Amino acid sequence: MKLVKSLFVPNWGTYVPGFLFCLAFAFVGMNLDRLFRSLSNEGVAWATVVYESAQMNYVAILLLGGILIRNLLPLPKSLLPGIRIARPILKPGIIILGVHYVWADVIRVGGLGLALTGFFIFGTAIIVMYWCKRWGVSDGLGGIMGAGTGVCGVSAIIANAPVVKATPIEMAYAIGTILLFGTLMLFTMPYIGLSIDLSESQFGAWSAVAILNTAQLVAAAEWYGTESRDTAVLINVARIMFLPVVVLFSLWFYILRTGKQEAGHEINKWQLVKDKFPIFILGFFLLVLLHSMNIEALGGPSEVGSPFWAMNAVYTWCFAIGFAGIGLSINIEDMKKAGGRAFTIGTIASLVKMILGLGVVLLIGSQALRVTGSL
Amino acid sequence: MAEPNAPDEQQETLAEHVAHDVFSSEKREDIWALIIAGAIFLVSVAFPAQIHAFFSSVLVLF
Repeated sequence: MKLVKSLFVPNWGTYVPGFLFCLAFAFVGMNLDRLFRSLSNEGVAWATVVYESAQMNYVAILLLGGILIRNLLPLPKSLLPGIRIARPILKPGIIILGVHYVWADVIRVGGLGLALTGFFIFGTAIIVMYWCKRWGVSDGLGGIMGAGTGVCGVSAIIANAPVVKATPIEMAYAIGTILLFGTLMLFTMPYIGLSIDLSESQFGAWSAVAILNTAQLVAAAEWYGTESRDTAVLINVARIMFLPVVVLFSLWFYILRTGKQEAGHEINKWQLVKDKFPIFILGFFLLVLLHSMNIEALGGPSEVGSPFWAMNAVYTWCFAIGFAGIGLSINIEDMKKAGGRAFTIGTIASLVKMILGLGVVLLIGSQALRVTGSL
Repeated sequence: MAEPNAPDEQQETLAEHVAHDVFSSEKREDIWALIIAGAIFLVSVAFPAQIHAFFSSVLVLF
């Protein structure tokens, strides 16, 4: 009973208005997408410009529309708690995406993704932490910037903060910086990819390496195309599994290596790993396993009438609700908190990661990064 | 009168508190994600055509 109660936050009723608002916004966004698409297919000129040239699909509508609504209109404060909980609805969508993959994809693309992300995660985290130390940035801010630019944005910052003893001000700087980068990359990378004719699978790999948090990289990849999203999600799953490892690395780099651990306050490393591991990806892997087993009763995402075909119709709506939450959460005021040396280091690290990541995916090529969804 | 180290200790406690709250909420999010995905799976096994029709046709006006 205690376990069930712990699943509900106190005052959960305060989240209802904002969440319903996100549901309504997602409904409008998805239907505008369908409207633009059907008019474009019929040859209506303005719809073709909006849908094909400007790429105004449901992702763009919800993100851009959400930002405009949040920053230009007087959104009632009573909606804000519910808007915050809409973003995590991406997670069931990611779990359901497991029906698109088989283990051969996980091993091939995921294995390549693991190598890519391992190189970029540790490379970025180590370089940022090193240069922060060289430039006199505090261990707290350096540690969380390293984790944030290396692994997974805001979650990694929050995970690492107590280990490196980051102050709330430092956390606000780091989160502001990460949000700013993530938003800039989300809105620029798809157009960069289109201008250089990047294939969908290459864009997916690039966004998974370069964009700093799950929600924004899924949005960018989905915006680019379904193949791009499939590759990005798989590589992102590999990346977020590294979160406990980066926290352990920070513990060693800042505390154990320098002998700063306080007596009587030993950190339980196994508990740390257990606490930081993103358990929702276990659901994703379970669905990958079920799809790989080729169970007739479950079918596949393309097999009409099968359960996996039905589930395939649901995940886009989970994404739409999540993107509505993301767009409506982007407050320009929060991003203004970014600044100072940490911002400079974070900018350089993120740009280097973006450029190097692009070079690497161009070298690897499209075929190796494609999710086939078949055995 | 506040101890000289009190602000740092309070800030550390606040960071730990924020991390604990956020990570309790992250774990809660993950569990809810698994519950929601599990419910969608079960309903899709029971009523695949209806689920597909609802999300592909009923919710779509155009």
